[in-house]
Formats: sequence, structure tokens, C-alpha cells
Amino acid sequence: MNVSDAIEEWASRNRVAFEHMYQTLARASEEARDITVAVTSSDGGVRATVGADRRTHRVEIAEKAYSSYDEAQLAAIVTDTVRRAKRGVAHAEWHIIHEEFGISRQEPRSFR
Amino acid sequence: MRPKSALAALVGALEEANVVIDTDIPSGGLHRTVRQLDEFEFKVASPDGDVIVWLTASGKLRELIIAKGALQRHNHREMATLITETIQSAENVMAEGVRELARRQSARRMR
Repeated sequence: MNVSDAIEEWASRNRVAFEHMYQTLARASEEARDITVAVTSSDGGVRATVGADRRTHRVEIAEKAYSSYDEAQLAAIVTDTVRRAKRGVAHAEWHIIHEEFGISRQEPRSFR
Repeated sequence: MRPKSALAALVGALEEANVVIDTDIPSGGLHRTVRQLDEFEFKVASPDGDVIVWLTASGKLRELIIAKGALQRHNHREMATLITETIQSAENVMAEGVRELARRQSARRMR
């Protein structure tokens, strides 16, 4: 095999690898765009839904639980539930990348 | 603080602290930027002042305050809507503030 054939073969091998990587990345981005995470508080009284853009879509409060909270309790439960939902989006993204690329490593600390 | 004044205060504080919107990932620029943005908190209140949200400039919900007596003034649905809208308003301010800062910095780099 002469040099130009070797270069051609190398380029062709890499083209396939890059195309595969590009398609995997496109698939992962597409999947990640649809992420919506809904988290419910441990007492079931508050539910927060966060989208892929980390924006809060909705906070819901159960009527039954509402009368049992005072202002500070409700604020603390909403804060914790929204935070967990936002972390859940990051976690879901991590899993998509992990699955699509087959990356094997420990989860980032912030997800635990 | 209402969204407009919160936006001006946020952009002013970020500029004053020389926060650089740098997304140069290989050199760790993105992580540095997020860390810098995390240090800035800003406040957005609902129109009636019953809900106050403290958000960091990177989008983390730092604190939510519900005014005393607010649970008597709103039913559960109204309160959920008020909280959702106040958080969304703060998130919009955050996104707009970071965009505005990036726009100013890129205009400065072009000069």
C-alpha cells in the first residue's frame, strides 16, 4: 500500500467514526430536548415540573396538604422540590449521554 | 424587586464583578463561568409581594419566601400559580441578564 492509499484508508476510517459520533450526538441532543422531570415532595403535597432548559414549567400544591402547611413550611418544601426537579434534569441528561455513548464512569457528585 | 429592575441590577452586578461569559470548554471556561454566576443572587417578587424568589445567576433556586398570611389570601391553586409565575419570571430575568452580558462582551471584543 502506498502513502496516498494509506492516507485514504485512514481518512475513510475516521470519516465513519466521525459520522457515527455525529449521529450519536444528534440522537442524544434530540432525546435530551424532550426531557421533562416531575418531582413530588416526600409528603406528596407539592409537585414541580422542570423542562430540558432547566426552566420551571409548573408547581402544583395538593389542596389537602395546603391547609396543613404554614408559609415557611410550604416555602421550604417548594424550594426543595424545585431544586430536586432541576437536578433530575441534569441527571436525565447524564443518563442519555451515558447510554448513547456507552460512557462508563461514576456519576457526578451533584446528582447523588 | 420587579423583573425589570432585577435585570438591570443583575447585569450591573455581573459587569462590576467582571464576570466573563466564556464558553471555552477545553480550558474549563464553562465551569468557571457557572461558578462565577453562582455567586450572584437576585430577587424577584410577585406583583402582590406575597412570593419572593432568590435565584442565582446560573439558575439555581436559592430561596423562596412566602409572606405571612399569604396562605389565607390565596387558595392552593392561586398560590401554586403565583409561585410558578414568580419562579418563571426570575428564570427569565436570569436568562436575559446572562444574554445581555454576553451581547455586551461580544460587542466589546468586536471593537
